[in-house]
Amino acid sequence: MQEFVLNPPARLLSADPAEKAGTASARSEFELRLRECAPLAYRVARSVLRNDADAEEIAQEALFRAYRKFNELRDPSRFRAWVVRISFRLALDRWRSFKRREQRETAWARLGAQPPPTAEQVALSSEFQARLERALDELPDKTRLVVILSAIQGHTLEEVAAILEIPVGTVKSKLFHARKQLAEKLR
Amino acid sequence: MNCKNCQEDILDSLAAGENALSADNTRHLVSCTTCAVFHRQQRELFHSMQSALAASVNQPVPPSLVPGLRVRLDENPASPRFLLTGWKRPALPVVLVLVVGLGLLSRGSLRHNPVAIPAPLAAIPAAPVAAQAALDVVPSTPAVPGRSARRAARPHEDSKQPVEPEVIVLPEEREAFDRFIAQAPDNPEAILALTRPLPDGNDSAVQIALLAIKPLQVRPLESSEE
Repeated sequence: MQEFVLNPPARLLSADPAEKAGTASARSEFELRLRECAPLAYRVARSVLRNDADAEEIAQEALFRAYRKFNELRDPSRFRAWVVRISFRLALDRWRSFKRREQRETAWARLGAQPPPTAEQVALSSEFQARLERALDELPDKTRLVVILSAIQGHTLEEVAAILEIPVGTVKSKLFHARKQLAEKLR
Repeated sequence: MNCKNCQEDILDSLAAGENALSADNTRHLVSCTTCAVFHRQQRELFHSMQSALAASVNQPVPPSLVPGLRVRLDENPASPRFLLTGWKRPALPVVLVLVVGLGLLSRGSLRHNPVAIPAPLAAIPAAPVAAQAALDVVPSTPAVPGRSARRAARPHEDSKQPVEPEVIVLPEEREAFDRFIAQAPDNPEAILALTRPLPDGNDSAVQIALLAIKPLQVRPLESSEE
């Protein structure tokens, strides 16, 4: 796990004292939540996009948007759910725009534009993995997010339910149907 | 137990994440090789699926994620609450234009549609005034005044003083009133009756007689052909 160091931004030094204090307070609160939420935002985006660079960009955008609206958040305990939803929504938008672009482009251009796969990608891009990802893409958005969050290490069903603000029974039900659907497509 | 039911139960339990099967299914698996093979295959499939999903989801977080975010936050500090953000910012000029436009429209409509005074009512003086004084007040405007006439009929508009009510007198009424004033010396009683208040208890200017119905005469209908 990487270390997150709290660095006061240079812009704060020249600001109005009251504004500076408020911004610094919000910033320090936000930084405290970054440790937990940054990896989560990244992993959610990565699960949808399956591309490291895009996922990083989307996670940064999601966290940036969350920071811009941080003062408007009345219940800080919902911050994690908020970031997950922003990240998932942004990643879905990006993924859909990729799909649309892919459909427009010709096959030769598509092949030429793809970067060479990394060793890790080669390892993961087995036939089974590819089929699983395709099956995952076909799940409804909410069910897909439940599957992704429950697959992220250390997340219990209760935590997934808390993040998505839905009952645990709904999480169980969605997971049950998603697993059956995925298994059927992989069989 | 039926093989079909057993296989459905196996799928349900694996999808629900349960490792143990019911006692009936376990007994069936011991006796049925087909179902036992199916159970083993499906268990492996679900296990592979979970492993592949976990491998796909739990990717290491790139170390540049948080530093990159911090740089971006430093470049764009949080905006104060009172500033308009998102969709509100482009909507602001539209709202301003609408408000100003509506204001101008309502003002213009008031200017072009003043409260019209019905001619017959307007011809009657609002208060009991002397006849000559009333003549002085009444402007010499046509019955349906134009824009310039209306402007001329509002002499006090620019001086910010209370504007007197506009009284419209028809030309024939004006001529008749002139004739009446010219004959006034011959009828002093009429002038007095007009300018003096009536005695108390007898202030009704007009007396209305009760409706009287004459005796009806019923006649048979006559044909026009006869």
